[in-house]
Amino acid sequence: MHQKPIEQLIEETINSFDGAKRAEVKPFLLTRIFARIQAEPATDNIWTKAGAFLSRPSVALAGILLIILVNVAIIVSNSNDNNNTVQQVSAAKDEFAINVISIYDTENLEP
Amino acid sequence: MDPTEIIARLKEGDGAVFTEVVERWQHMIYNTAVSIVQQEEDAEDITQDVFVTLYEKIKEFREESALSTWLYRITVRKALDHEKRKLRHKRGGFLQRIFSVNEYEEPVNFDHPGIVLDNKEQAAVLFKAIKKLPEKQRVAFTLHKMEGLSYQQIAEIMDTSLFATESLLVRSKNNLKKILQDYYQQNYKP
Repeated sequence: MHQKPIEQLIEETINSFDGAKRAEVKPFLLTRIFARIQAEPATDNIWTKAGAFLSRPSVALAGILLIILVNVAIIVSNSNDNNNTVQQVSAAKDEFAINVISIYDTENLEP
Repeated sequence: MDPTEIIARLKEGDGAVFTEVVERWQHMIYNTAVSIVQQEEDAEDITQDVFVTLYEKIKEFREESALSTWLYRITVRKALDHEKRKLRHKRGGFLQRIFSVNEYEEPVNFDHPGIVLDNKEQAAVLFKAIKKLPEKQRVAFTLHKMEGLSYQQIAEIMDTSLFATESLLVRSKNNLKKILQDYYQQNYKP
């Protein structure tokens, strides 16, 4: 074999499948197929389908991302609301001249 | 029993016809799968999978092609999907490889049980070379050589034109010659 030119060897290799027989599967395939069909969970149920859809990595990741975005949005909007509330309180305080007078201030009023 | 009746009875859930179909096409499916994935255990899983799909999805079969063509299509798709899954597992398994001793290893040589004894050594080299072909060329070449299908049948299975199939087979042979040329230049001294 090691005396042939490479071209001939290549041609022989490409034709080496010629005359090949079909590979045969091991016996009792049918039994294994029926066992597998019986073991498969029912996929007709809507909840099974929904579960399968939600457990896809892309869907699960998109869901997690959405939850994170909603949380961030709520935190940002809450911090804006807090600023507004502080501003409103200080505006009301200024408008009605609400000042807390401590006991020391009262005492200091007396000459 | 004619093919139309077989399909009709399969759609009705006739177990006896399903058994007949499995017995008739099991080796065809297994041989196609094993020639593509080059792993006997994986090919057997794929064969089982194909028949489970047939059992579950026969009602969706629109009878636009022969049942055998449909079975070939399912087999090829499942075999290619199986390879992609394995490749993803291999690429993503870096951490697993660090901590696990049961690492997955690609077989070095595939010994197809149907190959003539005299050709075993060269066939193993050819199987290795086929793995390096682009997907469509690989499928066309395998179906043509291992299943002995005509260009027309391959075109139907791959849902492509006859001209495109011929072109795929010519390119697959040319690419194989290049791959084998490299291989023998490195591993063979005349």
